[in-house]
Amino acid sequence: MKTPSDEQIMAWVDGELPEDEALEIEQALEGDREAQQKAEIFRRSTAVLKAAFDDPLHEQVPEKLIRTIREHPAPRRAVRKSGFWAAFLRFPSLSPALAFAMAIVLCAGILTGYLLFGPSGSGPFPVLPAGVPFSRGLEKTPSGNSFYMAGGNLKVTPVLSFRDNARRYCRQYEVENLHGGERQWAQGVACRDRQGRWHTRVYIPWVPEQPASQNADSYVPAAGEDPMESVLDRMMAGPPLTAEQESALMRSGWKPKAVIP
Amino acid sequence: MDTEGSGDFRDQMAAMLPRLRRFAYSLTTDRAKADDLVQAACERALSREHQWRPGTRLDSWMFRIIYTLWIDEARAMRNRKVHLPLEEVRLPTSKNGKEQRIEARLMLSKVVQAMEKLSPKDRLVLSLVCVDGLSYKDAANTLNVPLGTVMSRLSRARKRLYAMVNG
Repeated sequence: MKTPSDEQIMAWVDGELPEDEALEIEQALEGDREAQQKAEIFRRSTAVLKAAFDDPLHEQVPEKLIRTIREHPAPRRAVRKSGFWAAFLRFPSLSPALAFAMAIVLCAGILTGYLLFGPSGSGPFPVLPAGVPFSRGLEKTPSGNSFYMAGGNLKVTPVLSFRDNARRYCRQYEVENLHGGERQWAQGVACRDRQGRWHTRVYIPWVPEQPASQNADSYVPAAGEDPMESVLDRMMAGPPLTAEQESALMRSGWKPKAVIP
Repeated sequence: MDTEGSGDFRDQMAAMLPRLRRFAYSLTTDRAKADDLVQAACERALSREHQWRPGTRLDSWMFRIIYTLWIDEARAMRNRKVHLPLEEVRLPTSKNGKEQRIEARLMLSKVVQAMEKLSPKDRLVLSLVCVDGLSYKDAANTLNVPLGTVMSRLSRARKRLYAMVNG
């Protein structure tokens, strides 16, 4: 073999060569003092660089940095309800039974695509997550963590778990479409059937802010008002499940006896 | 405050902090500046979490954010920066027992100063491959340049650094 290039020598030192090539370089280096010196330069340069900047690996990370990561607020997402939701939410004295009936209607609406394309002011938002990957994700993913569907394009994050008035397990989730430039975000509530399938019962797309004059019909919520809060108030039979209850349920395949007698 | 929904992402980032701090230190050659840089990078990453493609490497993404911020800052600082000449490093008068340790430390401070004299591109590739230990391929992906570019830059930078430290 002719004298190896500097880059070949370097790649050999760094263990970047396949075995046969490495063997060739090794043989070429024998008796070639100049090439051996080069190898030494590459070896020493890594060794001294590693040593010189090694300190951060052996010390406590400053509290300030950890706090930044734990506490930095996630990007704000303004939720605006569509006209359809406005109709629902304008009845503050709605009885629980009627609210429940409406939730079912809403669910039927989703299934027929009504909510997806029907309401006023609907902007682009993620497709309704459904199917086996969705059910599998909700079966196993603790609240606060995310799972991905549709080849990584759809990110679903369960937010909390609870039992509804019909004693079904339900989970609030957020879904975000990571593909494409425009932000597409929605939140929903899915409930589990006895076969372990999760069906979305409520779905609230995020609607980008629009000038109020163009949309006089739409209901403009007071600051801080969140339609999902109202939905949850009406659906939840009790407080949300704790992280421990949730993980016990996941271990038992959502068998109620494991948590609530 | 809404910090929900990204627990896993934040955990991964927190676990990576020692590496991120080392990387930033090797770029800036200054501990305080390095931590400021890591802080700024984490904040930027958290407010752009949706830009991170799941299934790709979070470390590469974080390295990219760090060096982008650093290059921006380096550009702004270019005209104000005063380099310490290497000749100013002198062996302190030492006793025999400590001599070896002091020499080692001297060598390392020479390395830090040599790093400071290299171009940002040279420093970057040395930080990724020699300091952090990324493979050539991962470094090329992180920098978004061809593998051959990483190799030629790396080989040149290592020879330069060696010459400065031992010259």
